[in-house]
Amino acid sequence: MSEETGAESLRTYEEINAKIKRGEAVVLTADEFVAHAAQRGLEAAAKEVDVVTTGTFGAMCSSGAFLNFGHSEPPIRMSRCWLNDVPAYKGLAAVDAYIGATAMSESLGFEYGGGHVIEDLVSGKEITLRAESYGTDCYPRRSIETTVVLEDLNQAILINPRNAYQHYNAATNSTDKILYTYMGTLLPSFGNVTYSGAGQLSPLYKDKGFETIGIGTRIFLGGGIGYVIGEGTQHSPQTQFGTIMVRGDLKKMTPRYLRGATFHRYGTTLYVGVGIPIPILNLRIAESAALADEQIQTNLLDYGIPSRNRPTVKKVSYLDLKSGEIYINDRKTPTSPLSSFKFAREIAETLKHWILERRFSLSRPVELLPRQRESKPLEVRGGQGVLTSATAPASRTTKATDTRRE
Amino acid sequence: MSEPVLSQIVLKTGILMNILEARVTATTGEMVVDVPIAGKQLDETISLFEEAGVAVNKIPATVKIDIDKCISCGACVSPCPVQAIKQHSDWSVELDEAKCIRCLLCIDACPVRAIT
Repeated sequence: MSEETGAESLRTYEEINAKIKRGEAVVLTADEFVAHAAQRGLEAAAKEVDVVTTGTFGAMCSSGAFLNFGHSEPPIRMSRCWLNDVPAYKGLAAVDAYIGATAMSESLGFEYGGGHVIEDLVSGKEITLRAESYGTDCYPRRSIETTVVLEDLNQAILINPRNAYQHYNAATNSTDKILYTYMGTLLPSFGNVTYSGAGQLSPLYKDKGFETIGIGTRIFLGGGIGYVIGEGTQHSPQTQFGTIMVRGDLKKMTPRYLRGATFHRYGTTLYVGVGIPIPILNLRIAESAALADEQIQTNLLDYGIPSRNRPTVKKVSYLDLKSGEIYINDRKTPTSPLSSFKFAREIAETLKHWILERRFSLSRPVELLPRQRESKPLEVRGGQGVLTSATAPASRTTKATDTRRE
Repeated sequence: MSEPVLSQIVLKTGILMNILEARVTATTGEMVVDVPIAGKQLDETISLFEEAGVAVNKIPATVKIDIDKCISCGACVSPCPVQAIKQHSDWSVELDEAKCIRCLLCIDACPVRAIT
């Protein structure tokens, strides 16, 4: 196919939206489209289906919200502030703050973080706001302590710098100690495998060529409407580790799809629900949207090695992982996800219904996501700093040799 | 009753009690004990402990999953050393109470604290 990227050769955004308005659009979730394409053949499926909806609900640590509190009497130019004892970033004007998912409470530590603040805000709960200032002639107040609820705020805008990884690694542990990581609890001696990513429901995997998702793409975000505002941080399209940066109005979202969470001995985070409609503009997009779990491969990494480049134990597909067990060293090992397939399906179904009910039209992006990005490491120049965690146990590792072919 | 209290009561009642957890210091001791009886006999056994100066609390035999909080992510499933937690075809999570050995690993594994 020599068409340019994003070519609207099968149908255009305008045609799709016109069909949506007339109630004639054919919309399937990615699960349904995978089955449909297998049954009807790719070309027929591409002609028949206008939009494929996707969904994912996983831990997305690079998430947070910009908040504006409004001005008190007398006003304060906050230089430090806390929401329910969780520090929010306040190096921004007088009453603009950013509450990040991984910031942790100064009183409750690992049990309550920025993600939990966001969930509580969206749930309509009262949040204690505390702030300090060095005081200025025009902003004389030096401190404030009050409570706020979401509707008190002028703006509460969810802006997540890195969401919806195209796919992710699977994790296991070769050491002789239990490890607590951002990939959950990993039992010793390859005792279990965890994995993340929605597989064939994954929004960015269904647009593998990055032909439709871009700046201005309208999406399902946290139970409300949101928009893609660009590539996410660490976006690595060449290795299918694409990411997006997203934006949405927190006041229109629901806590069902924005859940504060804690990974034991690792930190706090936010589970975010994201769903993106994929318009079947050309055959290449159809092919990408029809990719099944079986065809989506990932690497099972040994998280027992505390290095930026962890060794790959073996390659597995999402179908292998979703089966509930795989073989490592000729031994059966249980697998389980960290992102919720139940909620991912629910999001894809919800987005499908929004479109069918004519409550959601597709937007042509102003600019597509980059298809090339160099993924650079952080070089250490100057002192080495502290190399290991004070709590990391000394442990032995065993080498994994995969003699079994699946 | 002389000490150790637990052994004395086991000898007296003949009930095969199983110690699941024990924390003992110079001045205090706390145990989680599986007492495999029910009804009047259980109440009488509890009275024996209380008469010996032991405070007794009944706690659930297994962990419990709060289905309203649960997001069906599956984080609890593979860390369970006895595979007592399963995911159905719709990925919803269910605990097989008969298999649960109260190792409590799943409690920390659950990212939304739906397990107690």
